Amino acid sequence: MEEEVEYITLEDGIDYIILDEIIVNNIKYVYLVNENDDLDFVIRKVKIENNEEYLVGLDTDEEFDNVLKEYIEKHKNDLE
Amino acid sequence: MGYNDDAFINIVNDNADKKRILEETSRKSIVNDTVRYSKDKKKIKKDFKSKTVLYLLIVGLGIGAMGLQVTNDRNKLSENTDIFMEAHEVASFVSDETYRVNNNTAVAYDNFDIAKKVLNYEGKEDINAVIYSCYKMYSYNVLTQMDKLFSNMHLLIEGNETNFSKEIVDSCNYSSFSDYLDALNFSTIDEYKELMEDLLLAYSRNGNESEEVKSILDIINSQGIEFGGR
Repeated sequence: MEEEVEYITLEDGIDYIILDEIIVNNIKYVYLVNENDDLDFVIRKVKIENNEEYLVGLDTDEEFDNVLKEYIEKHKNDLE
Repeated sequence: MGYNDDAFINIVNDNADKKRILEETSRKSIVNDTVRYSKDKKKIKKDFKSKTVLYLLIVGLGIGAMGLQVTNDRNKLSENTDIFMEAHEVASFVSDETYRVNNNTAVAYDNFDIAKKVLNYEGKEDINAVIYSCYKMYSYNVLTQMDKLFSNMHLLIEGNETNFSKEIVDSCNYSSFSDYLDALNFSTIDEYKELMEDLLLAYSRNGNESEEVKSILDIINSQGIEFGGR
């Protein structure tokens, strides 16, 4: 059985499945998982230049903490 | 949810694995790379996405949420961070046994075990600060978890009062979190959080024996922790 999903190829040449997009403080964050490794996660944020969307890395540990907390907040009910 | 494979159970139970995955995720996320956000579609094995959504949640909850809380608090404070180390220790000992698989389908806090460990806490901080560190640690259904924590502490104390210190009995022997809040005479959760944050901040700034800490503990005690729980 298969399902259709959206994915993006990152700089390492690996395809990452898009798990979610969450907007935090007016910035869109994208949560990704390596399609070949279900425990290989990456978070990127979207930067818009010349009407084009680009994925860029996060800047600090604090930013990582905050966006992971937002993800937890959004999905915590999945555990129930 | 309803995953029951080995990988799922392993990730639930192995905190070292969760920590490693979280650190790796952080390392791979804080990078100086840019790619065009050009989405494509493909077909993959069914349930891969929904399962990995959950994996990331468990990784974040198991280590991230409580670790992050401490990290963020530390970032706000540049001086003495002993209380946060203590809170982190509380969170850590809880995290070791926080999760379990219930009927192979659900993940839940083991509040009975948490209650035992809170009651046996031997740090120098006031027990109310430890209780608040649990409040900060819980990542979902906080009020329900706190109710369960108090219910279990009450269960453990009742009939065994002599096994615990007077402070523990006075502060922890309530059948629910709301009873505890009532005893402290807090009208709202926000009031509770505000005072307890002040307490943690005071511990952090000035240490356990400082006048600021004592003064806040006096406020807590005068608000109603008048010994003899329910």
